Amino acid sequence: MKKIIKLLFFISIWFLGFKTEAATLYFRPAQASYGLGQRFILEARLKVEEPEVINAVEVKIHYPNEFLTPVDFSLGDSILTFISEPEINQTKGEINFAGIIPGGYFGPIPGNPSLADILIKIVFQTPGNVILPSNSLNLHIDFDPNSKAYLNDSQGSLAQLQFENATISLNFKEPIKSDDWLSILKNDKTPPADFSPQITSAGGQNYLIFQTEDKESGLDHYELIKSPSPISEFKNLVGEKVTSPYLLTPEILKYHLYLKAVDKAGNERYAEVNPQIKPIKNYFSFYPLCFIIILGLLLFPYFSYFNKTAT
Amino acid sequence: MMRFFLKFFIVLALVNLLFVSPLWSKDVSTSVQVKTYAPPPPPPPGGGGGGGFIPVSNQVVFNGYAYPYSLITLLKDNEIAARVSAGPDARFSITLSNLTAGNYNFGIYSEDKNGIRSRTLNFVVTVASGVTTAINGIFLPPTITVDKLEVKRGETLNILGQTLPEAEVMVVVNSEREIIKKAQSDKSGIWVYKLDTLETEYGEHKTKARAQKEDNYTEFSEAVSFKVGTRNVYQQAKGPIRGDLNNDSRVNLVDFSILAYWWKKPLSDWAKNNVDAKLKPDGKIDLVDFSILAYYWTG
Repeated sequence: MKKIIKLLFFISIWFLGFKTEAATLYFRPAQASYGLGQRFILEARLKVEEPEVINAVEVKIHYPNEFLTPVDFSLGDSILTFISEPEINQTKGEINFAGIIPGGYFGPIPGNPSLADILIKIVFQTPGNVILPSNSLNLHIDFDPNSKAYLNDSQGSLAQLQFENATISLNFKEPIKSDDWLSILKNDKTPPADFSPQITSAGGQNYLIFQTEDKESGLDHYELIKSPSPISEFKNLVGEKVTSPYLLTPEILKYHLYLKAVDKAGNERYAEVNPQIKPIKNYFSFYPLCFIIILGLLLFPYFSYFNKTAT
Repeated sequence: MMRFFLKFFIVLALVNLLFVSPLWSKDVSTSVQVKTYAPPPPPPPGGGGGGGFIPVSNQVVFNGYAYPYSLITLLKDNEIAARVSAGPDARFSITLSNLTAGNYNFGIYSEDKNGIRSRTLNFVVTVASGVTTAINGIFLPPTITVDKLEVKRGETLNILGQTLPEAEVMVVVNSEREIIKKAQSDKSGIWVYKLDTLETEYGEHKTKARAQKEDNYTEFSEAVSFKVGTRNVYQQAKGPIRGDLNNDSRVNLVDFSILAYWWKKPLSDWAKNNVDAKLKPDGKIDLVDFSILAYYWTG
């Protein structure tokens, strides 16, 4: 008996000694039961433990596309700054997204009332009608094992990543529950946050750069409104859907520009952009002026001679 | 003669209009004026009247210590939300009000008197309606630098920075065997440790520091590199920040947007030299580049 205890002791010391810190991708709820025709929210989250700090993730999620359809996302409460819009591939049953956490995510701070580690909220829809072999069916929503997390170490090193997947039970007898996503959309009366678009030059081109946030339903899209005259009333203006960075051509800069941020509930926030393009060089820039003067000096004897002979 | 000059200036004006017009000029400076508007929320359903709307201020208060008179920057969801100066005792307090309820990613860092930036401390906080959330006991890590990039073995390497005033600074040198030394900061928080490089081996090393005052510890600073070799190479003036793609001495949304534009795209020569070369120069833009950018983020 003593030998077994000793052995167990050494095994536990061995494992403790080699314990590696790893971040965990997990879902909330991890298990749930829904009926047919039900909309529900599944949150993908990131758990980290000190001393690990994560500053970028690239995630792929697999879902059973014959039973579930992602109908929307909410990114408003996410700790991520998304590199691009999350992508749904319904044919393959995949969701892809990638984003960064500037400065890194250190994990929860003591005393915070809730776990603020949300990466994305996915709104799934179960089918309205389906033939099942039994009253219920377990659906697995999994993180792809090739999903990646990066350490906040200035090198872009990969972090060890663990996965905790979700099981959703599709149940004929389950009564329809309240639609949480609909409640969020109905209750969101707050427009997206104030934002300040910026213009930057890169590669000889001017780009409009913008980003804002909406903590309730999340941001839906941006529209660029081009008006030949200044606009004074900002409501229900319609423009071209744009994403940041947006290339500003000289043609666009002739207009009065307004950016509209719209959240998922349809609330709007406008930002007026008045790009004032000023040439750094003088109107009579140096090289063309030299060329003109030289041309003038070369042509002067010819015109003098021509004028004299004409008179 | 007069006719010639008339023709000449007409040609001059035309050429200028065609080739030197501001719209065709490549070198332009831009400035943006931004005003924001949001349509008022719809009136509440039903009638009724009277009573008054009492605004609820959801606020977050940050209390802590940096370095005496240092500049502290607070980031809210990656953008600069406030900048304040610490007092002579290094203490600071920042209050952000009128926040919408939800999760926020706050980052806080300081710059010492030489403009060297501390590591950023991040806090993901849930702001609840009508509640003030206080984050107390923030101790920003010390700043750290070395006076030589390469030091001749046997000579002294100065490891220095700024932290809390009159605090004990623990300096860690990651060598083949870890070396731990102690320094003391003065009243202005300046600390210096003179490392005898005979205690280290030839090769690359890293050093970092943390401070302790009474029962409070700061986090570790970022680690800075130096080489113990056969010559002295002195540290040059502060170079460009890694990840600063538009050369404005900041790493923020603009740089992120430039990087995001080239994500998963074949790189042009311009992008190779001005984007990829400033992060991980491997001819492609992937998550490693984004991770490096996130590390050097200044807001």
